[in-house]
Amino acid sequence: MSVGRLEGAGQGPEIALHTADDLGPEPRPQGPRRGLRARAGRAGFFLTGWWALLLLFGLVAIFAPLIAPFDPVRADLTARLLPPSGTHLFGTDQNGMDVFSRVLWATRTDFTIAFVGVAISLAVGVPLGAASGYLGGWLDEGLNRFAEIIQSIPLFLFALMVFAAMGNNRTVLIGIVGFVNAPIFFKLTRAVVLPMKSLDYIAAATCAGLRAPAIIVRHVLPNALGPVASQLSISCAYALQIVAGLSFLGLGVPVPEPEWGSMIQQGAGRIVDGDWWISVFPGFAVLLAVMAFGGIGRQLARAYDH
Amino acid sequence: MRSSSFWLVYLGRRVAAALLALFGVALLVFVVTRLLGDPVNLILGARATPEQIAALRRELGYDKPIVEQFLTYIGNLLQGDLGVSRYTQLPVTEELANRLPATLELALAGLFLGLLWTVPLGVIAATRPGGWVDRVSQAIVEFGVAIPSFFCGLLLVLLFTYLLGITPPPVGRLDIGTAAPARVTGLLTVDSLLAGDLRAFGSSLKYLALPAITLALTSCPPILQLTRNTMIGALRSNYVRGARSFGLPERTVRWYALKNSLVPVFTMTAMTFGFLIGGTVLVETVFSWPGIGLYAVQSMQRFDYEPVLGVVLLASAIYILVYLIADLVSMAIDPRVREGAS
Repeated sequence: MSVGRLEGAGQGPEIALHTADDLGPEPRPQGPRRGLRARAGRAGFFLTGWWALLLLFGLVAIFAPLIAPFDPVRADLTARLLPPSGTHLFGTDQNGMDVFSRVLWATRTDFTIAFVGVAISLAVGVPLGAASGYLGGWLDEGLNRFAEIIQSIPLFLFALMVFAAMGNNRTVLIGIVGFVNAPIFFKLTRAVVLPMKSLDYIAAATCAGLRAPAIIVRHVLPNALGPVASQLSISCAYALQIVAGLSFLGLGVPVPEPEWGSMIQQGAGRIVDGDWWISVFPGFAVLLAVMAFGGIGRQLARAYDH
Repeated sequence: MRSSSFWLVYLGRRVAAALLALFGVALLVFVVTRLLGDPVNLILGARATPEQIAALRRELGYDKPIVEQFLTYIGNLLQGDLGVSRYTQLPVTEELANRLPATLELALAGLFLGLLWTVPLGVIAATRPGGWVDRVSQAIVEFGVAIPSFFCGLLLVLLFTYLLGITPPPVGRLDIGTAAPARVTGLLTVDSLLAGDLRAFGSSLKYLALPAITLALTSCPPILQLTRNTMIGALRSNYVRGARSFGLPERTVRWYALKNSLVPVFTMTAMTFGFLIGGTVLVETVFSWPGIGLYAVQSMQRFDYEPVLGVVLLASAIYILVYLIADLVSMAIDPRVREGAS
């Protein structure tokens, strides 16, 4: 197995999630019915498990105003640093804000930023990747180099620099999420499109008088659908980590707006005193959301492979 | 003769590509900070008078034509001049040299611990794909990749500092009462050993433990994944089948497979290291670890601009350099990679 260039190694989860499970267990002689059922059962459980979790997050994001028992940004100085209880399921923070309500509302903030960012990267990366792979030449060369440069700059440092230059606000955060994910979609689409150029049916389409854009949209891009769908889920996981990480550094989302990363930051200084609930609940929210997207991404990748 | 000229061509091409990437990074940094954004307004804030803005523009050289600015910028970079910190009034290059060893020590320790658990586990998992070791290690990989590093660090602090009380609070590299050893490498663990100062050594190890474990858990799982996958591939290869058919003991066969799997694992390890130099920002922030990542964050908070750019350029340069070296080394030791390139 050759490794070659590992795209954006360690820049986030995408690399590990990509390589996961591309070599399954070696087929062993066993009763076909028993093996199949056992396998489908297990895969089915995890499949529905991750989707159910994602659905739960989606419902929470949509109905946060209805479910949350408290106003997420109302400070109550008489109820500061309370541990989890019946009234405050996840306790309260230094300002007396209800951590449970904030975790629910933050789902909205984090998912919105991540989705918009990933949508941008998709809208930029896929067309460029298709054009680059299909047309080749200097366009391909230039875009490839550019993608490599983006991926060799450490993400969080780059983000710090962009925030320093362009201001600390949500628009910049969304832009950064889009900017770092775009090369992934670009390379992915390009890799699907590139070997297709020489296929007979593309040549036939060319002979039939179709122009390049029409061929790309109608005959080439549909083949990228599978890998792009799986990468979409993985990029959402990656985006959630970026959003939480940058907000943890105080970038992108202003305090006291409910956001997982900034909530973790708020509790970070209290961990050594044992006030764990301020950070731990939003932390597990990020973890579960990222795992759900990662799990779904792997499922899609496997479905596409077979 | 043929092979030496091949080497020269390959070397030249790789070095040229690395230089081009370096230039690209420098260009991107310039475009983002001088064309897309305007640091002057951000440094001075909204209430600055036009005179103040004009003065600072002149001071930073932003009033000159853009091409001249770019040439000055590249010229300074070539001389290793990354500007002056507005906060400390010291050259950024000097500040970076002071802080890089802390990041290096953390990255090396994290990578060392990471290799310690990922490679053996990956090898064991590969001997029985789908077995319980494999499944457990897959779960660990999924967890380690998904958990944000800063949150992982905080959980470790909660467990080891608050609940068990065996590690110091997450602030810095040494106990307050412990004098730092004479600086040789800048790595406190190494310097304290060189100075024969066991007390400082113990103290620095205690402080290094949690951030290094955090990195080992969150940044190294891809190494496990790669080890497992290349090992499985190797164990299914024809030479392993051949070795088995000769009746060689399974241990020997696995050793053959492992030796052949190590090159990609080495490349991945090197790249993880290159990434960690710029990727420890969050962990350094959690543990107040005085490396270049924390320096960038603190400078950003002070609207001190040049250091942020300096850290970005330095970390990217190290990443590109490490990637280049890893590439050349794997080329030198693995004939299969050479075949692929020629």
